[in-house]
Amino acid sequence: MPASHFLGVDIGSLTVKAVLLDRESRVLAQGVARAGYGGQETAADLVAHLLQEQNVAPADLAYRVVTGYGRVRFNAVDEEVSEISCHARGAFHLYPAARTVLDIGGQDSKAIRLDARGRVLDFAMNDKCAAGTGRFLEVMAGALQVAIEELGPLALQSQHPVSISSTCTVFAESEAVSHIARGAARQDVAAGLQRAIASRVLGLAARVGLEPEVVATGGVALNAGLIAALAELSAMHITVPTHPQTVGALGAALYALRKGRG
Amino acid sequence: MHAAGFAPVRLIQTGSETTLANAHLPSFSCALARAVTERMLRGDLDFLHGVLFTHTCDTLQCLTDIWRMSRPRFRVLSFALPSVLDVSPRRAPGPSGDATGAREYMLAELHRLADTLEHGLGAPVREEELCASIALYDEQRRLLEALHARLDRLTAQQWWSLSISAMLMPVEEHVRVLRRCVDARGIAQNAPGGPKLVLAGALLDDPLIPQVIDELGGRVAGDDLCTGSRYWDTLVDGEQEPFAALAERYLRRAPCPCKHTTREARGERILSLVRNTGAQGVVLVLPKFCDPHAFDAVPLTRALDAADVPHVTLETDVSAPAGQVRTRLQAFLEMLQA
Amino acid sequence: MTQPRYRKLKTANHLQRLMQWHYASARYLRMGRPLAWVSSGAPVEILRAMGVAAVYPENYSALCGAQRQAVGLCGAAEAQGYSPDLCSYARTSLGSILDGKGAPMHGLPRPDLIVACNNICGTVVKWFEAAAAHYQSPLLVLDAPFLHDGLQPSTLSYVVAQLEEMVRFVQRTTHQRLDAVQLEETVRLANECTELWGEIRALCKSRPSPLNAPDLFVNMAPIVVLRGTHSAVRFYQRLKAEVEQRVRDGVGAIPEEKHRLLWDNIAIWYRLYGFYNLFVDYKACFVADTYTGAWSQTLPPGAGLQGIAAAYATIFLNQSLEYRAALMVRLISEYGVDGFVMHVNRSCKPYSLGQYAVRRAVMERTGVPGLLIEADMCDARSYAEEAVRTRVQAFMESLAEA
Repeated sequence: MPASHFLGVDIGSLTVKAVLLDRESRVLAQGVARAGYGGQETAADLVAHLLQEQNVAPADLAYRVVTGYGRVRFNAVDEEVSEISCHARGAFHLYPAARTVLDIGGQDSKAIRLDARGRVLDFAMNDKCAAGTGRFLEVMAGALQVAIEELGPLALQSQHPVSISSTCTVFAESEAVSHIARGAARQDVAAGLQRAIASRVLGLAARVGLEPEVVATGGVALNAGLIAALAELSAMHITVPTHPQTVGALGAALYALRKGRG
Repeated sequence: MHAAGFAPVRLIQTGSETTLANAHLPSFSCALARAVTERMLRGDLDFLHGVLFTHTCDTLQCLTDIWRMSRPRFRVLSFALPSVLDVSPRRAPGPSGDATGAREYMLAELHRLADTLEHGLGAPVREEELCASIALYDEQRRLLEALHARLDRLTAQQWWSLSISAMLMPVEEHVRVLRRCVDARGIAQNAPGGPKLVLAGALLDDPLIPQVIDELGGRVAGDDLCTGSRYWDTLVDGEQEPFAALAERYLRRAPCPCKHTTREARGERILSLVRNTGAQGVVLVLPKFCDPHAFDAVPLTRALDAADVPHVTLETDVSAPAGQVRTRLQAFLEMLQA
Repeated sequence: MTQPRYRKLKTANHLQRLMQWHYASARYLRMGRPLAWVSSGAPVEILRAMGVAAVYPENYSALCGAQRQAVGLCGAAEAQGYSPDLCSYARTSLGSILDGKGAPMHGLPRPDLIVACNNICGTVVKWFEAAAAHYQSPLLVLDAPFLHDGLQPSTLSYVVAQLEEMVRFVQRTTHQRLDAVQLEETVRLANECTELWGEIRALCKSRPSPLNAPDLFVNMAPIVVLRGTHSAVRFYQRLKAEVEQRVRDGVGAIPEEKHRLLWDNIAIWYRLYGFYNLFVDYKACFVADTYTGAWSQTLPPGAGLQGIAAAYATIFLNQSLEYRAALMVRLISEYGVDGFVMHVNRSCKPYSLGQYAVRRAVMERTGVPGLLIEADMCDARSYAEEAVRTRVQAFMESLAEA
């Protein structure tokens, strides 16, 4: 029987993701795991786990594509593709009307413009000295003593977000800590942080142009407070997929499907 | 300088440590400034008889005096070039329109430099030796230009090594190497397929970018870089008196963002490079904290957009995260191949 | 009742009206005169003598910074692709051009011509190139080579030749002519203005100092944007009278003066009073600075273009770091200064990159301690309150111990 499964793996700095597709591009399985150190081992384990769950043998994988920060040293693949192309492809597959993708990942953010056929027209990545990533939010959640998943809902409770204007993560953190020291309410600090990041991401998006439909991908898109801030500051609707974290891996798997199907 | 008996060598970044330099320069200075200051402070440059700073930008301007104040025994010379090379924004680039008095000033500065070399460093500049040096450097320029006509036979890394070594090796040796390269018939043509790129920007003194281009299957078709074609652009006019000829060449050279010229000049130069080489995209190499290039990037990218030429910007710094460079270049090449 | 930390000058209202009039007249009351956008180090005397009105984008950006409107304008420029690492005056100005509606006074009126001189920096040339391209207006760039080893005769000739071209350029673009008598009068007024300002600053040698840094920065505006006019002279005459009165009455700028400080670099416009009040809390007054004295050269009468060329080629920012260190040493001695503060201004490389070297030299030669404060003149996003406060506190505590 010909190999009829296609694998996409996204090795990020905070998490690794994997998506398994069949020949009809249906998602058979997907998973997310904390990356740990390096990410390659966790990725291998995650893939093994998904295959086992679906009763698929490694030989049944017709084509495997890896993307993400840790892609360079992951050997159990047929090809590696940039996250930009993968996030674009994944988002377009889910939303054919998508024309801008905002990917806010663990250690960088990207804004991607697509054309009507889903091809990448232009992209921008955050430059040095530009706060606004998942890693930063994790640290701040720690400072506010809330779990990272609670940060979004907490921010939504705020009526008076504090102002955090530094473009440097180190100083933005220092600003947040000062607000805490002066007795600012937790939700106001959380909201201030979300707004700061949203504003940074929109600044990035302005370089490529913010064209609807705007889709947010990456783990940080799970943060409802951040999405609300993005929507408010841009006065646009932001579409969030059900599984924003795996969009990159989905895109990688779709590449695998295209290449492997022949 | 060569005629005076010195072997001129260009100072570039050779490492990513800036521990000592951090005490002499604030963080918002470019990698070149910090890296060469580091080398100087460590004593790595003590073998030099002196350093000549030519005025290009505000950072180099400050660096001249910072070096003088931090190492008084180190011989630091300065040479202020004219920075206005065209007057009217509507005139096409060409042999007219420099700042009034620029030629006379340039000539005076060249003579002043020759005087300093003679009386300050005991190395006089004689006319015949100057003519001989000019001829030698012109030969280097011609050979580099010839090499550029055959970029399809070189990997990006080979192109890069040959270009940058022009500024690091004694010119006599480099010319010998170039002659061998240009004459060689045995170099096979690169396997076709990868997108052809024009590299434009400031210096490219980090081998990472050419390495990644080769790894990803891209090809360098041409460049407008400080350490590339802008080095060898325009020959010296052999007919004129040598000082005048040198001044003339300087005033005619390809425009650099540090000079005030017509705003369209660089865009036009890069677009014609793209057309002539059949390149599919432009890679802009911009050092972080390089103001002239950052300003120019705006009209340049607009000109490229208007001509439908895809482009990507790589921001370099003392230690660029290699992952980001790779991702951007890879995404760009994927975009070109789609 | 506690004394306010800032003592307002009576002439403050006059200054405000003067500046408002300056901007309003540039837009509405030019009476047919052409308008030039001018860099702060450009020889405006020639323009005024040719009947051309002048506005200063740098001053406009400082105003936006002081009114805390600069960040939004910088964002507009950044959205167009201008790097956030570029000078915040440039970004603010270019932002105001691109987004006129949101800018204070709807931005500056469109220029008929633009004149930039690189004696202050190279950024102003690139910035004004962008403005000229936007407005399709003629641009003249004057090249004043940096003086590492003092003014060379060839440099002077070069600048003189360019000033001659400047006259021809202005004539071509505006059809106005240079009147030699007008030039002499303009130079005379500029000199009078410069002398008055110099005398006012020198009054700060008194103890207590009648003025603090915010006063110096705020009152510097007319000498930059109205140099060569009668209204600037009148203003400085009034200011000088008031400052002299303070000295006679023994009235200081701050409630109690225990420490006398020297300031280096451009002001932190969006925290103009708040920042210096940090020092007032430690009884410290800034009695002198290196920036507001930039217009301290008088032009020799009758020297014409040659004199103007020499003056503009030798301004403070066009001189070597050694020159600047020597100036600071002199100010420390003349004004009885016990400490100095250097604003490491992200936006201004010519002024800031050499500060570590200058600080070292000045401390070695005078034994007076110096503090470095990293911030930006106009972009509030680069100001870290806690970091600044900690440094000021530590510095003032050690000064108090000494």
